[in-house]
Amino acid sequence: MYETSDLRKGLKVEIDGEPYVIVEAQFVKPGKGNAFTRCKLKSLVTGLVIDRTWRSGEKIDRCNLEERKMEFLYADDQYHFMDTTTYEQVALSPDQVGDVGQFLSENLEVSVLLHNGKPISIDLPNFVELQIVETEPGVKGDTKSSTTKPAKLSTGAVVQVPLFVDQGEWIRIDTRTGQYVERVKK
Amino acid sequence: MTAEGGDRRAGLPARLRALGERRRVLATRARVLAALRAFFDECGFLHVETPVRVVCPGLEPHLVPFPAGEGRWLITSPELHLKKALVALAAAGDAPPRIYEVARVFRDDEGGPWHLPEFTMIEWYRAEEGLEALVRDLEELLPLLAEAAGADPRNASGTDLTLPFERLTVREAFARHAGIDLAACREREALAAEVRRLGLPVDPADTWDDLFFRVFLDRVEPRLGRERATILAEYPASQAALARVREDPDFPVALRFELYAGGVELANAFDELTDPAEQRRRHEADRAARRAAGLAVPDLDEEFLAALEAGMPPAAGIALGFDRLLAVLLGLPGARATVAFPPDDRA
Repeated sequence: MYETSDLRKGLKVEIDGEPYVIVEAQFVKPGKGNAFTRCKLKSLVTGLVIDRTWRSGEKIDRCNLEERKMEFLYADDQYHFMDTTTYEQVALSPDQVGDVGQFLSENLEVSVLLHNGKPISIDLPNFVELQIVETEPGVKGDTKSSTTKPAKLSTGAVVQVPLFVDQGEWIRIDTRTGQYVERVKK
Repeated sequence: MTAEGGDRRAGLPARLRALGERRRVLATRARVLAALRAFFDECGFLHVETPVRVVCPGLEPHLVPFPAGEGRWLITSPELHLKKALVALAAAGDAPPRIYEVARVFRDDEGGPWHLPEFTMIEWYRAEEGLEALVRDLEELLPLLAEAAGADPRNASGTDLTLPFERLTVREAFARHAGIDLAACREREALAAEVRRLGLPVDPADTWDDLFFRVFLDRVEPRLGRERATILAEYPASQAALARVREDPDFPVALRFELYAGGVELANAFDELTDPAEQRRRHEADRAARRAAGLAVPDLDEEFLAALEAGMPPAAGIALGFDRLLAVLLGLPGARATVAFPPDDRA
């Protein structure tokens, strides 16, 4: 259990069996009363932000969270991952995976967050390399203009790329912004 | 600034570099303090300096005093000694005394941008006068201090200090902002039901006062002291501290008010308790509560109680947080930004 004095930004706690991360914690003390800590917390399951105030002396549940490296296997109506040392497999819904699902390629190593053994979210590496399977022909030598065109990647994702980039080439994507970074030689 | 100035700054510890960068705020602070002292001096208040290291630092169970050697503590407010001085000056004759102090007070176990473990409290007393006289002091003083700060008195963190202050009782505030009639919720269970109705958590160990503050902090306080300053008056009798209580059969209230401006609580005023027996009873109740909670239990200040026995004149007294006030006047995000040496763990 945590004490209210432990509550600070970034701490993960459990409320009614659900894991939350504190995004804001403020100490408040009325003139003639007990101290309270007022928090904004984000659900690690739904992403919704809630307000919660604890009185000094209240106990707050710790959160049994575990992060494990797993490889992406495939997606059907769910995303499937495997721990390559134990061969244990887990599945996450598209909601749990979020927008980064479009950058998952086979055997990509991601970090899966488990709460009481149940997967709740994933973290991709900051950069992934993917091949362009479909785009308009490249404009040779045009490395200056800031104009872009859509390009479809092997995972099905569509990103904006500079005009000089060609079909069949590999590019690096920043998974935090979903944006093209550079071409890579393969 | 010489060319070497930059190099010398680079060698400074971060806190001292920050002090230099805050020099305009520090100059303003000094100007506002001078204007405040001039105001009280011109209104016939005597500045009385009271001891910082005392036998009884204040006994309210929610305050944590710093120990200062065998049987001694640092004050959490200058209240007891200022009242002793008020009684002594009243007994010595002359006109009903008015006294004030620019005091440094100490409270452990408080954190966040609006709390400092040592801060500057402006406390003043008017003998033979009531809470209204203190509201008038505030309505005059605050715009004047905003001017002294070179700030706009019509926009102190969004509050227009030149407008007459909003007057609200605690009971009215709960009815207006939370839809709760406190007089109908004098039992813990009734209030707990209302707290749940609002979707707020209730802990089994919450007292009536804790439930009160859950609603207060969530629904009421965020709406106080916004466009204009708010005088929030008449607290539940359980939160009387050293104020007189009006024994209303419907809802007994402590004759107290707090001042809110810029969304921040700035001052706390009492129609002072002068009854020595009742004062002793409340001090002993606070000591019992401290003992039960496993907190330090300072001795009673018998000299203070003897002063009340001898006869304290009716009086109104108020404590104003100077650092907070300055932050609100200047639109700063907390009291820490107004002091030369905001506390850190090392120095």
